[in-house]
Amino acid sequence: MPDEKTKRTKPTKAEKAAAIKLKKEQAAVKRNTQKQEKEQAVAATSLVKAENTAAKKVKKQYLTEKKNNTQKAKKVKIEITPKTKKQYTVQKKALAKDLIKAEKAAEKELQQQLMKNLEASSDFWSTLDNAGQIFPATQSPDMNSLFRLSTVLNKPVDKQLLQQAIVDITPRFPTITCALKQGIFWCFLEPPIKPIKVLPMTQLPCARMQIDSKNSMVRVTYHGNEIAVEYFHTATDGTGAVTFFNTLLHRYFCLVSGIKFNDYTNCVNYLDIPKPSELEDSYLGMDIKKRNKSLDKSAFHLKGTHLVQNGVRFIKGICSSAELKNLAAKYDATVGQFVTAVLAYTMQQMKKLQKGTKPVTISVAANLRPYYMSKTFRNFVSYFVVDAQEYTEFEDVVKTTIKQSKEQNNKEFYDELVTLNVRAQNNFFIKMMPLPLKNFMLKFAFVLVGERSQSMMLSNLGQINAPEFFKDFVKRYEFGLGGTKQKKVNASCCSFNGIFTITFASIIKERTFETIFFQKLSELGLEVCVESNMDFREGAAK
Amino acid sequence: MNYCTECKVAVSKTISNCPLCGSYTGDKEAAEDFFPQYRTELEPYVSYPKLGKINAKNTFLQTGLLRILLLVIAICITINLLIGGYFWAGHVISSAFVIYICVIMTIYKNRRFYLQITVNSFVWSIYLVIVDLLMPNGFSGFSLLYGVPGVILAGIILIDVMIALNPSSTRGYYFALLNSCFWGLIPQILIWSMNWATGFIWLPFGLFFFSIANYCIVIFLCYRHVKSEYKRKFHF
Repeated sequence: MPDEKTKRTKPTKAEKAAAIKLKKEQAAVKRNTQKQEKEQAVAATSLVKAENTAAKKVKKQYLTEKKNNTQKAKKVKIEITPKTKKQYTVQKKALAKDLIKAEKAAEKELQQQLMKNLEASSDFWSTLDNAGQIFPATQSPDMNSLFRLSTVLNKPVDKQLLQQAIVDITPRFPTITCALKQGIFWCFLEPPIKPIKVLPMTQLPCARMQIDSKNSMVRVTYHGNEIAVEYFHTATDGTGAVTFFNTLLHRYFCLVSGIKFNDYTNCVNYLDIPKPSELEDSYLGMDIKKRNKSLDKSAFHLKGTHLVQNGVRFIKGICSSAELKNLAAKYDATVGQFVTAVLAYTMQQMKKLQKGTKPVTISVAANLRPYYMSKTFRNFVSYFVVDAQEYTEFEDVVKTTIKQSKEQNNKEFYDELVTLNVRAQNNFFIKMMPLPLKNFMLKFAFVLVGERSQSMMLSNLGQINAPEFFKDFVKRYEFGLGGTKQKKVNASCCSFNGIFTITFASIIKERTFETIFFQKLSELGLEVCVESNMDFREGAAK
Repeated sequence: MNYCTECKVAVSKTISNCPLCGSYTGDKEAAEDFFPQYRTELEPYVSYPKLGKINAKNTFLQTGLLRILLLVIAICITINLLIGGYFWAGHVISSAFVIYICVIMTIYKNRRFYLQITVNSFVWSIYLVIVDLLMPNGFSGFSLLYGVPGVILAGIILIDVMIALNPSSTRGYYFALLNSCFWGLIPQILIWSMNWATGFIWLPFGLFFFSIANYCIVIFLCYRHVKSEYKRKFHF
């Protein structure tokens, strides 16, 4: 009999074939799917690659286009057609108009502020002080009667804040910021109708100032870190100028820093009303005494080639105050006496070089306020004259300078000296003389008496007192005189915070005088640094 | 800093030649310990503006033209005296006077406008009188009858207009008005005193009363200002 188990376990040929076929199909499917997956993967990577390349291509294209564009732009010239030119000029005009508008608006604001100040002081007017009478009469192209006070700060100057400061302090100093008006018999002072403008330094120091009834007798300039104020001498003298200048700086520093400083050493609060003691002519309060001195003799004057520029050349010497004081003490002299002696010695050397015969005299300005307890801001100054005589040795010159300074620098001497001028002012016939004739006579008298008898002038402000906080802002003070016709070189000096500055103002091209002076100081052992506003090659001759 | 071995002084590092003697100042070693306070505290803050070439104030028009005018006057007077006859050089002199005062001095003096009006009125009046005096037929009187009154009237009207436009104007305008009114009275007074004209001449007559009217108005309305201005102008 057949076995059922054997019938079931043995597949048939068909089944075998079907199984084989199935396997084949499965394998094929598997192969297909694998293939598809592969293809998909390949496609994906190729797609990414393509994207990357495309992006790179795009980027490259962009960069090349950009490069081409910039190159094109460089190569392309703007065609100036009448249309474009018109557009450009219209734009330019519009811009200029805006600028002018802005300037006019600023000026209008200033004018309004000034008008307010003027209204407050509209009735103010003042006669000239005794010393101030001479300067309007003697003004000429060769003699400006100006002097300058300046300071070097530790930061660049802000023009707008400085302008604000000067407008703020103007009403506080009516006699200094006034304009000069001509009367029938005398000149007088009135508030100006134009505000004091802060100007950049574009001229030489002490260049001629327009003195008229519209503008103030004060000029404010700036450059870099430096602020300079130039005064016509009718307005004030050195001491008054320092008070004005310090007040201006005080106000300026308050505006710059935003702090209200309350230290008013050697300056005043700009908000105060001017006091009568500050506006008085102190010469009228002097004791009039009979003048015993005879007319001074003619003195030696330097010769040189005039500078053609409108203004003076400054040569400054800067040294340590302490060292200078020690050096002067070696000769038993004060700093002022010592400097006067060195100037006299230098002038003696110049006299030898230029073969002069007349005596050498140095006129030294003196502040009269301590002698008469005056607090005026106007001119109250006189001078004494040191005659170097025939001494040529330095030690002898120093001794005679000290001796003459002690003899002359006192109240009795100044009473006598100023008597002539004060009496002349009070003389009835001179009072009744019309102003043009008076000016002519004053000019003549000045040339005869004033300039002729002096070789040069020295004006020493000494140690400038200032508020304590100024040391954080101010590096040094400088004081310079203007040019005079006969005294070709004048000297002025001051010191602040341990720095002593002596300034020579010269209207001649030659620098021999200054060279001998500084070489002498170096010879005596003083370390001096020299500055000048004019290069050695500059300074064309007349 | 740099150092000048001739003068033995130090100079700023920006300066290559000594300002005193012109020597080269390249010796920096000598200036190392020289016045250190200057190097640290002052030198970095100091600078001078570059000014370029600056000429003296051009006063050619004032001095040069004056010399030219004087020369022309001298030549004309010489020629006139040589030729003789009618003194025509007087016209040249008076014209030169007007040119100098009214044109050149106006430019250089920078006068206030009211002063310009007053000075011009005065000078032109004098000029017209001189021209009248120098006429070949003698003094005709046209200057006092028409010329001078016309000029002064124009001046007074101009000042009135300036005061009206700016009522808070300075005292100077009131002062100029009073001066011009004073001059305005003179032609009619001269006519009356010397009996020049027969009949009524409206210009000097009108000017006379116009001046008086202005006087009264100014003095009544602005007495304080006028008094203050006179006090300043005439103080001695």
